[in-house]
Amino acid sequence: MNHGVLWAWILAAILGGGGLVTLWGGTHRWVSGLGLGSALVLAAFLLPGFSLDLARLAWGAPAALALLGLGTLGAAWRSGWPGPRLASRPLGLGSRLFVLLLAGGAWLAVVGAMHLDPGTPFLLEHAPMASQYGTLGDSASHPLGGGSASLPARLLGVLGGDPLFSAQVLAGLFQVLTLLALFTGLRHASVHPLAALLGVGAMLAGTPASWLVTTSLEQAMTHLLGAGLLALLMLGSGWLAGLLAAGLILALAPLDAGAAWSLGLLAGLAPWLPGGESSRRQRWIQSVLPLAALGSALGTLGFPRPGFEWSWWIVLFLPALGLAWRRKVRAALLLGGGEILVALLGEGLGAWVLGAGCVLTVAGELLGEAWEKARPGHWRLGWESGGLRLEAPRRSGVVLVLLWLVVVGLEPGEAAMNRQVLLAAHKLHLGLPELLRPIPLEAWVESRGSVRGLGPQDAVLARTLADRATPALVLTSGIQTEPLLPSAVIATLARRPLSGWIRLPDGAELEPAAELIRSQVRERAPRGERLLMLEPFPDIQPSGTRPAAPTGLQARWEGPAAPGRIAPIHLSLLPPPGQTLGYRVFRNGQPWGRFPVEGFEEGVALFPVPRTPGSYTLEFHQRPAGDPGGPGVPLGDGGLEPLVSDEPATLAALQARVEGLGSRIPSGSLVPFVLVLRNPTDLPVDLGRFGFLCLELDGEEVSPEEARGDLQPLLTSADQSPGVLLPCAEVRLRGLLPTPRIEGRFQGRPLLVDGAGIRLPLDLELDFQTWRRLTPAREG
Amino acid sequence: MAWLLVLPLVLAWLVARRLLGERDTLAAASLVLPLGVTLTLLGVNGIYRVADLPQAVLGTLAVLTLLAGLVAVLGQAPTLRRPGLHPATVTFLVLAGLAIYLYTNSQQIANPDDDYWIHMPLQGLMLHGGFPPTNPFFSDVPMNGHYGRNLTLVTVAWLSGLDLPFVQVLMTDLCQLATFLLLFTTLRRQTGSQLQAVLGTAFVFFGINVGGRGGLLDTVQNNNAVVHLGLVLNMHLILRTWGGGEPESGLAGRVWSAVLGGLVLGGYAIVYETHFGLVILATLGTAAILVASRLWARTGEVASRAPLDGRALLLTGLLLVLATPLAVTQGGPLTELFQRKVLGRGEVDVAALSKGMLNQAQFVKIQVPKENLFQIRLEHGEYQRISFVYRTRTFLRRFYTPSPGRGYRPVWSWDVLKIHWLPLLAAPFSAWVLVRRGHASGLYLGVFGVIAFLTPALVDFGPIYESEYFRWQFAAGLGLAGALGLASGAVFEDFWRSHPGRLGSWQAEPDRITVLLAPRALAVAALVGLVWLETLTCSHFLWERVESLSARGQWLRGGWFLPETRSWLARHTVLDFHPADWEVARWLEKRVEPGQRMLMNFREESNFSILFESTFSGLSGARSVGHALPLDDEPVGTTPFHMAPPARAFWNSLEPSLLRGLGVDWLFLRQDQGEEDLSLRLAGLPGLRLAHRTRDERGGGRWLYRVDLPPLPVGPLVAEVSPVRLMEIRLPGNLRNGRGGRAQVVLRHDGAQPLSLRKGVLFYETVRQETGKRTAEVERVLQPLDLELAPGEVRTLEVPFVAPHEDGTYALEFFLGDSRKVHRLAGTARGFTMDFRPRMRALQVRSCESSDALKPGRLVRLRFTVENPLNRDFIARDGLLAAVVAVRPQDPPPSLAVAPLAPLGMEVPARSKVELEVFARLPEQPGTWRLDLVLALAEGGTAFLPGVELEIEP
Repeated sequence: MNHGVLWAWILAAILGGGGLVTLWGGTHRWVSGLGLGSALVLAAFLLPGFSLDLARLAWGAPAALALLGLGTLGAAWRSGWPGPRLASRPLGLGSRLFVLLLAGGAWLAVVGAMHLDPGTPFLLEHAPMASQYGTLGDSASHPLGGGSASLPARLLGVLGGDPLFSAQVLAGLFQVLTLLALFTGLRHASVHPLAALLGVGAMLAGTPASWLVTTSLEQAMTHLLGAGLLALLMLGSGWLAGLLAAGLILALAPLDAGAAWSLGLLAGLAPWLPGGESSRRQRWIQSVLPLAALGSALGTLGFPRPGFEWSWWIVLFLPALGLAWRRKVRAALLLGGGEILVALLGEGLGAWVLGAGCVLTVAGELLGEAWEKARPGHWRLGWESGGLRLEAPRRSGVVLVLLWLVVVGLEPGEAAMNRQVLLAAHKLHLGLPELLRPIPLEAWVESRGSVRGLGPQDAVLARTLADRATPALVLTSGIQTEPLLPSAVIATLARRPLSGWIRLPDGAELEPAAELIRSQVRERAPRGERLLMLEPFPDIQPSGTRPAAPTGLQARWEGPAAPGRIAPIHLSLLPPPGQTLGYRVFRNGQPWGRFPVEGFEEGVALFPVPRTPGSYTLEFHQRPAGDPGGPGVPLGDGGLEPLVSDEPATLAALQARVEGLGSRIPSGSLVPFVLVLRNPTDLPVDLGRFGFLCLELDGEEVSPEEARGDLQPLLTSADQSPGVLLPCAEVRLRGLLPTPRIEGRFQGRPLLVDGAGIRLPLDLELDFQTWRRLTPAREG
Repeated sequence: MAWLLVLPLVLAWLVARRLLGERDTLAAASLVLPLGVTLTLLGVNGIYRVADLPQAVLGTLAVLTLLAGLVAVLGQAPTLRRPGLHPATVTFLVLAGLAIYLYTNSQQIANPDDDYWIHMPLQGLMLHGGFPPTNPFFSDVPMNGHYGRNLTLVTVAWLSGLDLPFVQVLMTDLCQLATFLLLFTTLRRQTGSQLQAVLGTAFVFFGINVGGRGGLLDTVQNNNAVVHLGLVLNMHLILRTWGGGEPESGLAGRVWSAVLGGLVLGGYAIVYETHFGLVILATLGTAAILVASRLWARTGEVASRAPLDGRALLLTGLLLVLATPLAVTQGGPLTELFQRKVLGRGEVDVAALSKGMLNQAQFVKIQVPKENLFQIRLEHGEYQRISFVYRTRTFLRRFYTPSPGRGYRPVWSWDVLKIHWLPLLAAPFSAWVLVRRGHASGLYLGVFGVIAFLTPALVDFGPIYESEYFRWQFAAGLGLAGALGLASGAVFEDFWRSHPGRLGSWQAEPDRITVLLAPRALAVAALVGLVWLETLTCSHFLWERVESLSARGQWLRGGWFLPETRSWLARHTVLDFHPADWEVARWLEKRVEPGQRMLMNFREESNFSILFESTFSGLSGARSVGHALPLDDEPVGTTPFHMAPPARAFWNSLEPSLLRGLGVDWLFLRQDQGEEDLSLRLAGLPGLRLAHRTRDERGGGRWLYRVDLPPLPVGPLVAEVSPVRLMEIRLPGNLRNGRGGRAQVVLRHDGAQPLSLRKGVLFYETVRQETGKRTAEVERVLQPLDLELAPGEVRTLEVPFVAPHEDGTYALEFFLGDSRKVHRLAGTARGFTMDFRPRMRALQVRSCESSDALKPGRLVRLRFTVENPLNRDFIARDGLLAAVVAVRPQDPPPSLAVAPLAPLGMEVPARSKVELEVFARLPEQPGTWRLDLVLALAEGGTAFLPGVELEIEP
C-alpha cells in the first residue's frame, strides 16, 4: 500500500495543477510543475492532525490532489491550455543544461552528505521510528523513537522500505523539486529566462548557507515547502493561492519556526507588493489566509530569532531591491522582502539565500533586456590613425557579465559543497558514482558506520536479533554511559523493538533493570565490545492491585547513591528457599521502567541510580524463583527513604578552583595545574562518567583548534579516575593547560567531557598571560 | 620646557628662507623639521661629551637661538610664493601622508621595534647621564655604532618631559611625514615637474619592494625614520649646492647649502655610518657622471639638469671638507676608526674578540676587495631572500620560489636579483633615461642605489656584518626606486608633450561598442600599470593593516591616536611589563644617579626575555647588569639574554658579597604570587636596604633594594707566580650549562713567609680547549676574601662555581689577588667537560605505548621507554621539557618541535632503561604516525629522539 501511496504522490506531483481553474465563479491561475505539486502533497502529509495511525487513509490526500490535477489538466485541455504568462521568453538549450547541472548538484549535495553521515536525528529518531512503524504499524510505543512530532520519521514510516535509502531518495528528490519549484515560480514571474536561471542558482549556491548545502531530509523538506510557498506567491492569484499558502505555512511551522515566521509574513505581505494583478478583494483574501494559518500555528512556533549576517551581498542587495521596486520586478521584490523578513525573524532559513536570489533575478532581467536589444557583432582590435581601436560586440559583453555572475554567484555554495561532501568523500576514497547512489542503512553501517562508532558486527547483531521475538538488550562494554545510538541503529536494522530503554523528552536512559545488567558486564568484557543480551529480563507485569502486607522487610541505603552509580541497599529479609526478591522503581510516584529488578545476593539489593532528575521510591516484592510469569507478593518499600537524584543541578553547582598555575606561563606548552572540584550540595555526584578534561581558550589570535581545546584524560592527583564526589567533599584533579603558540593574554574555560562528548562547563575562568617560548629546533 | 622645542624649528625656518633663499612656502616648510632635528643633534652631541645632558641641551638651544638672531638680523628673505600645486598632486600628498601616518602610528602601536632591546635602554641611560654611550648591558663595552636617533629622542624627551616610548612614536611619525614632504619638494624643486616628484616620492615610499619590505612606508623601525630623514636632507642640500632646479638658487644660497650640507653630512655619521659613506660616494659618483654628461651633451636645457660647473665642484669640495673633520670627531664608528687607524689610539685586537663581543661592541672588520668578489653571503630568512611582491595575490605568485640554503652568491644570480623587484630589474632603463638627460636628482638616487648594491659585493665586513647584507640591498632598492620613478615620469612627460590631443573616444552602436584609445591613453595605462606593479607590496601591507584594525574595531586607539605609554607597555605581553613595574621604574627614575647599576632576577628563557629589562632600564635610567655575552654558536643578532656566572652565583647563594663584584647599586626583585620565598630570604641581608615595594594586580610583588656595599676592585694580572698553590679542585657533580653550585678549592701556601691577604679576591676563569676562548671579564665570579696562611698551610675554600654555557672541554684556572695585583695560582690544573647536551642526545627511545585511546586531536599519556647507552648517568630532575612530535613515517625527520612542551624529570642510569610518561597532543588526522620524543633543556639544547610508530584511530 505504501508503494501505492508513493506512486499516487508522484502522479500528483507531475500533474499537480496546470492552466486555469474556474471555481465558484473565480478564475485561478494554478501552477503546473513537479515542485509545487510535491510541496502541496508534502504539506498534506504534514498538516496537523495527520497521524500515522491514519495511514490507511494517507493515500487519500495525494489521490485527491492527483484527481484535482487531472481535473485541471482536463479543464486546461478543453480551454485550449492558456498556460503561463505568454510574456516569458522561451528556454534555450543552454538554460536547460544549466538547470540540469544545478539539479545534479542538488541531488549530489544531499545524497552525498547523507552517504557520509546520515546525522544524529536520523539515526536516533527518524530511522528507528520509521522502521518500527513499517513493522508494527505503530511508533508511539517505541522506546527510542521521537514521537509523533517527528515529521521526517512520519514520512519515512508511511513510505516504508529501508529508512536511509528512502531518506536519501526523498531528500535528493525534494532538493531537485525545490529547484524546479523555484525555477517555475521565477520563470513565470519574470520576463527573461536568465532571471529565473540566475535567481535560482543564487538561492541554491550563492552563499555558504545556501540551499544546496543540505545534509538532512528535514532540511530538504523545509526547502521544498519554502520553495513551494515562494512559487505560489510568485504565481498565485485568487483565494485558492491563499488557501494553499496557508496549508504550506501550517506544514512549515513544526519543521522550521523561522521559515514559517518569515515566509508566513511574506505571504501576508505579498499581495500588496507592486506587480500584483489581483483585485482588492482577492488580495485581502490572499493576505489574510496565510496570516490566519500563521496565527493558528503560534502555539508551536516559539519566539522568532533574527537570521541576519554580514555579507558582501548587502552591497548589491540594496540597489537591486531599489531597482526591483522601480521596475516592478515582482519575483525579485518577493525574494528581497523575504530576505528582510529572514534577517529579522528567520534564523535557520539561511542568511542571504533569498537576498542573493533577489540580486541575481534583477541582474538576469537586466541582462536579458540587454541581450535582446543587442545585435550580433564581432570583436575587432586594430591600430588606426590616432590610436588603438577596439570594437566589442554588445552580446559578448552581456555574456562576459553573465559568466562572471554565474561564477561569483555560485562559488560560495559550490565551495561549501566541495568542502562538506566532495573533499570529505575524497579523504575516505569514496568515488562520485557511490556518492550519487543512495545506500541502505545496513550497508552504511558496515562501510561508513565507524564515524558513529558502529561497524559490521552491529549488522550481524541486528540480523541475529531480527530472528527473535523476545525482549533484547544491546550493551557496549567498558564505557561509562551506554550510548543510545548503537541500540537505535540495531533496532532499526532488526526492525524490532529493543527493550530496556526509557524514552525522555530529550533523550533516553536505560531502565534500572537494564542498567544493573550493564553494570555486571561492564568489567568483564573488553572495552568497546558490543553485547546482545537476549531475554535479559523476567517479563512480568506489575499487578499494582494487592496492598503490601506487613512482612517485616527493612531496607536502608548502604552507601552513596550518586546518579549513574549502583547504590547498595541493605535488606533485613532473606527470601525463603524457592523465592526471589525484587523491586520496581517509581519516579515521582510513576512507574520507572517496564521490568522488575531481581537477583540479589546476601541481603543486599543493588539500585542503579537514574540520571534523570526525580525522587525515586522502590516497591519490593517476592515471588517464586523460576516463574517469570507470576506477579509475586508485594512487600512494600521496607522503610527505604526516597532517593533524590538531580545530577544536572549537582553538576551545575560544582565549585572549581585552580592551584599551581602561575599568572605568567610559557606559550606553546602543556602547563600542569591542579583543578580542585568541590561539591557544595547535599547530593553525591558521580564524576566517573567524565573521561576527559578540556580547556576552551579565548583571546586575540587564538586558532580555532586552540579555542576548541583538546580532550585530555581526567585523572585525580593520585593518577586515578575520579569517582563519586560526596556532599561537601572535594577532589583534586590533574590538568594540563595547552597554551597557544603566540604570547598574549588569554582566558581559559575548563569543561568536563563524558564519553558521549557532552561537555559540562565549570564555573571557573582562568585568566593567564604567556611569555614567548621559542620552538625547539634541531641543532647541528 | 616643551616650548623650547620651537627654537630649533624657528632657526630652521630662518635658515631655509634667509640663508638658502627658499621662496616656495611648502619647500621652506619641508626643511623645518629636518634642519631643526639635525642642527640640534649636532649641538647636543658636541656639548654632551664635556657636560651633562641639561647643559648640552640648553647650551645647544642657546647657540641655536643666537644663530637664529644673527640670521634674522643679517639675512634677507626673498618673497614667499605659493607652491602652486595641481589638485591631483595635493590629493596625492594628502592621501599618501594619511597612509604614512596611519601605517607608522599603527605599526608602532602594534609592535615594538626589532631592536627595541638595545635602543630603549640606551636611550634611558643617555637620558640619565650615560654618555658617550656604552652597551646598556655591558658597561665596559663602548657602543661603536649609530646613536644619533637615540640622542635626538633623548633631547626631545628631556625638553618635553614626556617618556621615551611616547616620544619615539611621536618623533617617528613626524620624521616619516617630514621625509615624505622633503623628498617631494626636493624632487619637485630639482626637476620642476610635479609628476616626476610624485612618482619619485611614491616609488621611494611605496615601491622599493626589497625582500619583505615594501618601501619607506613600512620601514619605520629602529633608526630608519631618522636615517631616511637625514638622507633626504643630505640629498636636498647637495643638489642645492650644485644649483639648477626651479627656482634657481643664487650663489649665496648655494654657498650656504654647501656649508649646511657639510654640517649635516658630518653629523650624519653618528646617525648611520653606512649611509654616511654612501652619501659621500653617491655625491662623488653623481658629480662625475654629470660632468661627463655635460661635456658629452654640451647642453643644459633640461630643467632637471644641474649646471655642474667648476663653481659647483668647488662648493662640493667645501661640503665634503666640512663634513669630514666633523664626522671623525663627532663620536661613533668613524671617530673610533679615525682614532684607531690615524691617531693610533685605543687599538683593539679585533681578531681576538669573540663573536659575541664583536656584535655587542659593533666592531666592523673591513677587507677590500673581498675574497668572494661580486658575491654576497645570503642568509636564512625569507624576508631577506625574496621580494614580497612574489607573494602578493597576483600573477607574480607563480614566480614565487622559496630560497633554501645560505652562502655566497654572485650579485647577478637570480638568488640575489629576486630579492629585488622592478627598480633593480629596470635599472638599465632608468640609467639610460637619466644619463641622457643629465638628470641630477635621478642620477643621485640611482648612483646611491648602485653603490649600495655593489658595496657588499666588494667589501668584506667581517664575520658579523658580512651577514647583514639586507640593509645594503634595501638602500639599493631605495635609490633605484627613486630613480625609476623619476625616469618613468620624465619619459611620460616627453611622450605626453609630443602626443597632444585627446585620450580617446567611444561610440555605442546597437551591435557593438567601439573604443578608440589614443597613444596618450596607452601611455597613461602603461604608467598606471607601472605604478600598480610597483605598489603591490605596500598596498598589501596597507590593506592588511586596515583589515586588522577593522577586525579589532581599533581604528582610533590602534591607528590614529598616540597611545598612553603605561597601557601600551602593558598591552605588549612580549615586554612582560606590568603596571607595577611601571610604578617602580618611575619611582627609581627620580632617584637614580648617572652610571648606577642594577641587578634583577631576570628571566632568561629566550631572546625576548631581555625586553623587560630593556623597558625597565629605558624608563628608570639604571643599567641592568648580570648578563653573559651571546654565545659563539648563536645566530647574529641574538640578545645577551643568558645570565652571567656572577649573577647566577648570587641568585643561587644570595651572598651579598658577590654583589660587590657586580658593582650594583640596586637590586630589583620581581615575584609572582605565591613565590615570595626569595624576598623573605633577602630580608635582613647585610648591605641591602628595602627602598621600595609594591604589589601587582595579580598578587605578585616588586621589591627594590638599595645596595650599600663597597665595590670590589681587581688589580691587573701579573706574571709573577703566586706562593699559594692549587692542590685540588672539587667541582659539583652533574654539571649543566650555565648552572651554579659550590666548588671546593684546596690551597697550600708554599711560600716561606706567612701570607696575609686583606680585601682580597679569588676568582676563576675557564678556558675552552677547542677555541681558546676564556671567561670574559664581566663573567668572572669575584669572591671577596681575607686570607691568612702560614707557610705550608693547606686550606680548603668553598667558592661558587657556574658551569660555562657552551659545550666543550675546559681547563679551569684560579686567580688570587687584590686591588693592586692578581696572581694566577699554580698547581694542579683541573679540566672538565661540558657534555650534558651530547649525553642527552645519545638517549634512545626503545618503545612507546599508551593506555589512553589514541584518537585524533587528543592529549594522551604516552609511556616511552628510554635507554641510556653511555657509561654515565643522565640526570635531569628539573629544567627539562619534553614534547612529542608526530611525523608521518615516510616524511623526513622534523627540524622544529612544533608541539606543546611539558616539564619532565628523568634519571637514566648508565647503560639502563627507564619509563617516562609524557603527555602528547595527537595529530588531527588518523593513521600511522611516528611519535618522536623531543627533549629541550631550559638552558638551551635540544634532542630529537626518533620514536616508534603508532596507529591513531579515526
